[in-house]
Amino acid sequence: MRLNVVRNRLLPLWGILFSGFSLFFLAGTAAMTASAENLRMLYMAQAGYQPQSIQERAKEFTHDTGVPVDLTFAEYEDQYNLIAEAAAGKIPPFDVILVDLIWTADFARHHIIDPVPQPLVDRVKSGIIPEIYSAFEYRDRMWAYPFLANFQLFYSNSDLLHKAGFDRPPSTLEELVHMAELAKARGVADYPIFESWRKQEVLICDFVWLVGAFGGSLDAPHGRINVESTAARRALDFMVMLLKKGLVNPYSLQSDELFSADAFLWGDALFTTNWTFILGRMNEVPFNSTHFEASLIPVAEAEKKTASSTSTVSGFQGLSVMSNSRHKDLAWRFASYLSSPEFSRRHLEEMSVWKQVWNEAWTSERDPYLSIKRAELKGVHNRPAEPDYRSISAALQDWIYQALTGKVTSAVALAGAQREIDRVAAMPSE
Amino acid sequence: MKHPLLSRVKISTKLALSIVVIVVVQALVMQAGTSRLIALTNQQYYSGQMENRLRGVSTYLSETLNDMQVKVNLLAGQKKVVDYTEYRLRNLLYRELVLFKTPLRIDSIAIFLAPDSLFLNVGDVELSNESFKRGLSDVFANERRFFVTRQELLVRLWVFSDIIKDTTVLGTIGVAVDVDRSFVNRLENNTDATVLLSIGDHIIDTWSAPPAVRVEAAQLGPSLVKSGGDRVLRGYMAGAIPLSIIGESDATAICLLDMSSALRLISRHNQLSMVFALLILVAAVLLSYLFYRMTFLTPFTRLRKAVRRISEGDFQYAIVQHSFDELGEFAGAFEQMRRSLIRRDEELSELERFNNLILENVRSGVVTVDRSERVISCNPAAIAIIGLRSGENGSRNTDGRMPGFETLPDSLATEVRAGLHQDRYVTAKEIRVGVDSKQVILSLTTSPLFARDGGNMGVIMIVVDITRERRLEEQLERSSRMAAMGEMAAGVAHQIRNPIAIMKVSAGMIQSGKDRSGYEEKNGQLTDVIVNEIDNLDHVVSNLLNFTRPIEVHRQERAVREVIDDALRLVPLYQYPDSRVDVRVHDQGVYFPLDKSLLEQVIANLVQNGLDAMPAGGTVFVRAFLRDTELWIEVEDAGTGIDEETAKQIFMPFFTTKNRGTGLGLSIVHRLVEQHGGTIDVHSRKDAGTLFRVVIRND
Repeated sequence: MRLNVVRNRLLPLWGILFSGFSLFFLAGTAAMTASAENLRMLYMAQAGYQPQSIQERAKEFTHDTGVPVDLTFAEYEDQYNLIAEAAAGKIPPFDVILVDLIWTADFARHHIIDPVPQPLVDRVKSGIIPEIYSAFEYRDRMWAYPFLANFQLFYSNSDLLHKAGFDRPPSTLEELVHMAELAKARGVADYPIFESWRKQEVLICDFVWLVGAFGGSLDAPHGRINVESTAARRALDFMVMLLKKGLVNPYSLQSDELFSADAFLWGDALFTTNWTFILGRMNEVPFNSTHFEASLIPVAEAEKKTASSTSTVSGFQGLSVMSNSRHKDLAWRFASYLSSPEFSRRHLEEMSVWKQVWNEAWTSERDPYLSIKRAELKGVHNRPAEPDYRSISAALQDWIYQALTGKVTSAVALAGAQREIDRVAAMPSE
Repeated sequence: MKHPLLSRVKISTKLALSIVVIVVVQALVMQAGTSRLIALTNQQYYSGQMENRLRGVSTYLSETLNDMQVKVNLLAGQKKVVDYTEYRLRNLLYRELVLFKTPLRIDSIAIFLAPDSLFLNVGDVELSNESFKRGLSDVFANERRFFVTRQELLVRLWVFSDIIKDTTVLGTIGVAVDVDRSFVNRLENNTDATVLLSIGDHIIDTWSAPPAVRVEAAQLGPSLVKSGGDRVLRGYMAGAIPLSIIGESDATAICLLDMSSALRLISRHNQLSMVFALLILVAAVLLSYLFYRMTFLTPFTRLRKAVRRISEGDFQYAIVQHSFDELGEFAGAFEQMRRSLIRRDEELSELERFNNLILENVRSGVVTVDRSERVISCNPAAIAIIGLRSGENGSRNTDGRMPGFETLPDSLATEVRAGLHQDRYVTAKEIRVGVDSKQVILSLTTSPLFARDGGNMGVIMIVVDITRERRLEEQLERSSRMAAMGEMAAGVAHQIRNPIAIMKVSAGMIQSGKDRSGYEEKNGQLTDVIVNEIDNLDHVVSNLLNFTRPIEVHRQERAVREVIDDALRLVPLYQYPDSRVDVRVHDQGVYFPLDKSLLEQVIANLVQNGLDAMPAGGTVFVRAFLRDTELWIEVEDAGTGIDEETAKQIFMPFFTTKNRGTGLGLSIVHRLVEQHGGTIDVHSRKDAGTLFRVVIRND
């Protein structure tokens, strides 16, 4: 009797499971059939060109070539794992992937991606400045076709700035501190500066440009990464000082770029440094009623060699083709089709990587910050192009964050980070 | 008659009017009662509804307060709210809270880091508002979590909650709902009633009630709260509750229930009911009239006709009983009455005839005179006695056939007038009148003639011709007087004869004894005898003169005891050594009007008589006392007494049982007492003593 009852109760479950498996099988078969004919691309959802623009371009590609393109949009944080998982299969779910410059060495060394074909490399080198395409080079080869010229700029709330008694943004870090102190003292803002100092990659980004602002660099393409340099020490001290003086909002320690952008755009800070996507948001409602200004990121007075001396961090992204793709030619063809002057010319809300687009009058008209951007690109600093960058970054994040939260001193933090970096570097490569 | 006009209205008309009035009154009462009942039921229903509505208002306000508290607690616990407050991300917090405003139905949000430190203002917080400052201060002092602010026309309900991170209070967040028209609108939607919020000088409502009702209701709010009842205002029922639930002591929520539709329905019902009532009234009046005509008017008219005929003397007009109802019984009773009247008429006729017969045969004259001095009646005896000249048919009629009052003899007319005008009547008064040139002695008695209602109609005069009786009495009196004079003459003769005889004998002896020896001595003795007898004769003559002399009585108030004592001094008590006199006056100080000297003679005479009646001695009792208006004096002895025959003659002059005495003592006593207007009686038994009782009236 009890068995009958159990059987009766389980019967619907068996039915559901059977139906589920049947549908899964049919769907898998269909996917395999589709993947055999279509080109597939993994793209980032929250930054850069908007997904709709990508979709339109994919349709154009299909129209021109007859090859359908399946687009998958994923969060930045999930992208690395998705790509790693895709690399493990014989038939990857993606042919073309959007690659952050910090993954280039990692993917290249692990043969997840193929190097850019020489004809395309030539096209890149002739049409894109080295500050950009060099970010995708590893061991003398280019592993991604440059697509997004993303980097950080310095942003000021002009209204608050005027309220604080200033008519221009700071040009040096010392001036930044002075203006922030005055603004705080004058009650313009409780915390004049808001940054993205969450214990994530964004923290390293800000540390990188600060190190650059103090005359140093973490980028060591073929050497040892040195975080115990004077510049690195001054950079971290500067960050700690801002926190201690209450010039930077402590909530920055929990904020990423998006939140930082919100805090700035909503008027809770006079100054921030962030990626270029803020330029587009500044024109959105309701921020378009506020006067903002984008300028060169200030550097230390000592490093202010010229008026255009600046320091920034790159967040470039490129298009790569999976090593296990069965449609590599088509994939490179779509990558170059997508990252083309023609496409970027139509979407000037993002800075084109192509020099020719920069020089067009149309572009200057549409992008009032183009000159600033171009000047900022001169001081761009890349994060270390190392295959184990993720481990290095994680260690550095941890130690810097400890220093920012007052758990350790800057010196101790950077020493600790250096030890971790050296340990990772000493580990045998796979 | 108290209501002359009403008394002129016929009973049938009164009855008909009464029926109509009863029907109308009943209809009106029914109508009024039904209307009142419906109105009361309606009002009771609305009162119940009002109670629910007021409860709904109270519940809604309470729920609103709770809801706001939940919302503000929710906001205060939001991580972003906490973080942004902590890190002073004012604008980001603004962006977040703005997003909450609409879905949470909040009009204002504010965050304060201290009572005077506004961190965020989503809305327009009235920082300068004193009531807000006071409320906020209380919030920070943890005295209350909500309050109401008023600024000009804006009334807000604020609810607060602390923003706490770990155990640190970062500040307080308040959410506000504008207590405005939309608030009242929501309140009305929840309570299904028109609601006015009267907060201070503000009246907040949706203008759904007429302005006059709103104003009046707002004015009545506090009194409605105080009484706890409701009131109808211009077609609206108004009830109120205090808004103490939101901390406002001088604020009231007033509910208005539109009763107009119900009142219209009631009005229509009343109109319809009035029409039906009118129709029923008309039908009832018609039916009542028919019923009245059949059962009352026709029989009553018939009965009235019969009664009129009977009242006119037509006792032969029979009353037929057509029904057995009250009127039928009435007709039957009338018929019985008619028959009784016939019998009574016959009896009265017989009685009248008998009375007339009595009057005609009675020997006394009976004359009645009215107050206008008209002779109403007189019987044949009166005509015969007085000599009145009556009409042809005797004395029964009172019209011109009666004799005129002027034909009465003057003395009679005078007595009758005294009765008519002075209420002075006489009883058996003797009057001598001349009738037909003859002197007639009449005994006249007049008495008032009273009607049945007690009114004085005149005088009844009864005259009896006593001429014959008086003639006979006078004749008898003359005979008695002659006999008395004879007796008295005999007594006088006896009294005189004896001394004369003695004197004759003595004189003869003197004359014959001249020659005899001792003549001188004998002559002297005989002369003394003669002188003595002459003295006796003088005494007899004196007594006789005293007896016959007219007595004048002079009465004065005198002490009775003193009179008796003075009387006893006249008695030669020393001559009665074996006797004594015992005087007992019941009231020693009593005074009485009397002639002292006369009464002293009476008492002295009676006492001496008593002493004389007791030769062996004894006690004579003299008792005096008052009884009513009379003075009684009793003199009693225990002597030999007298027999009945002697007692009859004892007051006769010259009657005596003594060997010596003139026999005039008691006669004089009798005369003195009579002259006093009194009486004297004697009660005696042989050998048991005699009692004389003198009674003198106080006239």
